[in-house]
Amino acid sequence: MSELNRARLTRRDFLRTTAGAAGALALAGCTVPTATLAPAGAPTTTDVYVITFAAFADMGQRDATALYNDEIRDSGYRYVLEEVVEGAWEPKAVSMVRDGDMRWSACGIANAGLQWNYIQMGLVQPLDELLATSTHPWVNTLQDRYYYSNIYDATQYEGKTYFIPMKLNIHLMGYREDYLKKAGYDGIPETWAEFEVMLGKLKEALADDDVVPFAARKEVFRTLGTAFTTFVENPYDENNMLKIDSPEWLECIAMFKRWFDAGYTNLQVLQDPVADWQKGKVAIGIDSHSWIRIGRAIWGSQNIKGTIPPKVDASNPDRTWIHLDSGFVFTGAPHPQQGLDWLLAVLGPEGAPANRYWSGTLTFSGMPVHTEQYERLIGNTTTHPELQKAYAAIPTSVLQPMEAGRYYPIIQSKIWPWLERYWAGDVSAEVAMQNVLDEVNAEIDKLIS
Amino acid sequence: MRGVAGNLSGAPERTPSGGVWQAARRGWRSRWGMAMLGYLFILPAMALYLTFSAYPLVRGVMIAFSDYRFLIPNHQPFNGINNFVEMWNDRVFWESFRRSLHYTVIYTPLNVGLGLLIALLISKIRHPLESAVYRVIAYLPVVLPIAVALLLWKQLLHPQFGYINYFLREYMGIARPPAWLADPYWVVPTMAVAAVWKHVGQNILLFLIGLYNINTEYYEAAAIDGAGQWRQFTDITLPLLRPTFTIVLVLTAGVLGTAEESLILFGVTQAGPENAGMLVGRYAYEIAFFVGERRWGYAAAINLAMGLVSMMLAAIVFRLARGERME
Repeated sequence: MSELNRARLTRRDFLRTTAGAAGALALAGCTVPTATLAPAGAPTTTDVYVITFAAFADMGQRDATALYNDEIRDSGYRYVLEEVVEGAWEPKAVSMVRDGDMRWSACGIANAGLQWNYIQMGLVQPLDELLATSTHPWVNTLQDRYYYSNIYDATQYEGKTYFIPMKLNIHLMGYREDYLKKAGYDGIPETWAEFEVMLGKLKEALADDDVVPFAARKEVFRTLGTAFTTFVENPYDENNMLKIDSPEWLECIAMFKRWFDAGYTNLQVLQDPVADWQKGKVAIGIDSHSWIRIGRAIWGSQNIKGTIPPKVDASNPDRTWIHLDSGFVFTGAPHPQQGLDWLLAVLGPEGAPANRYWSGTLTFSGMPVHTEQYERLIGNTTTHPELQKAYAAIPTSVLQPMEAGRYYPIIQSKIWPWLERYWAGDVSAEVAMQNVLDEVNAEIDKLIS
Repeated sequence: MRGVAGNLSGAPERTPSGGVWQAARRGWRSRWGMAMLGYLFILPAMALYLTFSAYPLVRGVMIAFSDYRFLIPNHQPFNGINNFVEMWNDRVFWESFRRSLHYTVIYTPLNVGLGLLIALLISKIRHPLESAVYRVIAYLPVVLPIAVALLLWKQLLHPQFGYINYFLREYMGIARPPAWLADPYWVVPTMAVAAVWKHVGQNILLFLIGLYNINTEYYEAAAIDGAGQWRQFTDITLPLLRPTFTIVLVLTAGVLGTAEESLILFGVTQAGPENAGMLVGRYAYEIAFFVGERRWGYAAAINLAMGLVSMMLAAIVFRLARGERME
């Protein structure tokens, strides 16, 4: 082979070279950049990864993050909001924490019932030191800007701050006003005794339309727990477990039994009443505010109204179920201070990102936690009269303590089969609740923490 | 090597291409090279299998013999057979297991029988395009996401507004049709039927492959001998479909530990009326991801036990199939 021939590019070499180059380019294209490219001499921007559920990103956290990125564009940091699937991200996050390889700096949502669990898992870090070093304008006044002091209390565990509130959930009674008028009522009566009389009249008035007067949700804290808060000053015992062994609890479930027996509600509707509510086949339900929002989306604000639940005695203060969902900074977060700053900006009392986010809470889930946001979105408007009444009940209601999350899944898992048997008339209340207690205690005995 | 063995004097033997050792090395290299090439070809599949099947399986078995609690950092002490002892004494486990057996007893014959019936009907269609259309229709539910499929069923089965009860009331004259998923008595059969609709397409396809592989001359010869349709089915079709039955039944044996139907139809926080949707797979899910300290050890033990039961069922099917072959 001559020197000339050796120097010539063969077809095979050409193909090898181009294939290699194409592969290298493809690999380069797949690489996730950790920092945005900047011209030589310009400061580089560090990406800070934060997560939330898609629903809450849609609700406003995505827009709020974009607004906050605009505000801090010269800071050298940029927030990247990653949307994760509820429940599926937790094992991944725990692995990252335990491997010392945490990608995310903050999380935009921790359900009230899971916050205690997250602390036990080691997912959440205390915020006190970060709060002390934060330069956010409202960081020092945050505690005073919550609508009520028990909102701040619900962010604390063993004397430390772990969470930044991301929405308040105050449970309400949502009802079809047009149906109530058919039974001769303008609104919900003040006591349960009067309410029960009304259910009887509703049943008669709506019999031809196949409308069930009342629907319970099969989630212990929604309907049953909310009704129970009106029977006792504090629904939790000294260990923060729901008092399912109290006489008031028995009284509460007995009231429901009467409604089942009288046909004011039924076990079929209990399984999934939202479909019946949407189709106009339910007159009243106790639930979060989303029950009312769903109803209004179909039947209009003129027909769907809301209020706090009735009381055992008219002289009792207004009480209802309240819990607080929150955001947090991950243990081992790569940028903990920036993680907290993002939470403070998006979930704070004022500013463009916070204004955007808190407006979203009233469209999907929850309500504001700060006085400023309450006044802006609820207090000074006429669009949510039921929420004004609900907020007024906060001081006399007990906000779900973080430690209640320890017992919630156990109670939810064990109580329903026995309640359904009791309401169906198969067992007495005493036997049903004794079995529930035995099963709940057996599960609690298995806990080692 | 053959050159060395044939050289009785022990002196190195020269070959046209070089020395003995060179030849041996070349041969070894060649075999080694071939072997490596073979390993290279199976490497991707092996890597996927080891990563996503073998490792999780071994890890699962290890977890089943520990008190792994996900909520408590670094808590996974070996606890011997304690999980299995607890399972033996766990009333909820046995109730769930009974429901799973009930589910399997409905699901398996329906899935296999319906699959065979529909495959037979499709195989009788001679027009290729028409039969292709039916095959696609039959297989469509399999490719539909299971959440979509089951939520579709949930709407159909709504006691008051579902089309099924509307049909039963309006056209069949049944004044009080069952409440299906809202009635503890009907929950397991309803879940099984919905799951059969979702999965039967796979069996139809397997049976069709089996049916298309049967030589038509057998039927022609049998028809000449006077065998009717039923006799042809029992004496030709069924025996020649035996390998397909084996595959179908073995694949179905894993249904004992299913959890997804219950989780999708009732949600994560409740298991249907009076917990009637609490199948054993769901019970393991609850223990691992919902209740208490997320006891992955106990949940893994339950799943391991279910896996062993499924393997035993599969072994019985294989044994019966082999017995038939030997006859």
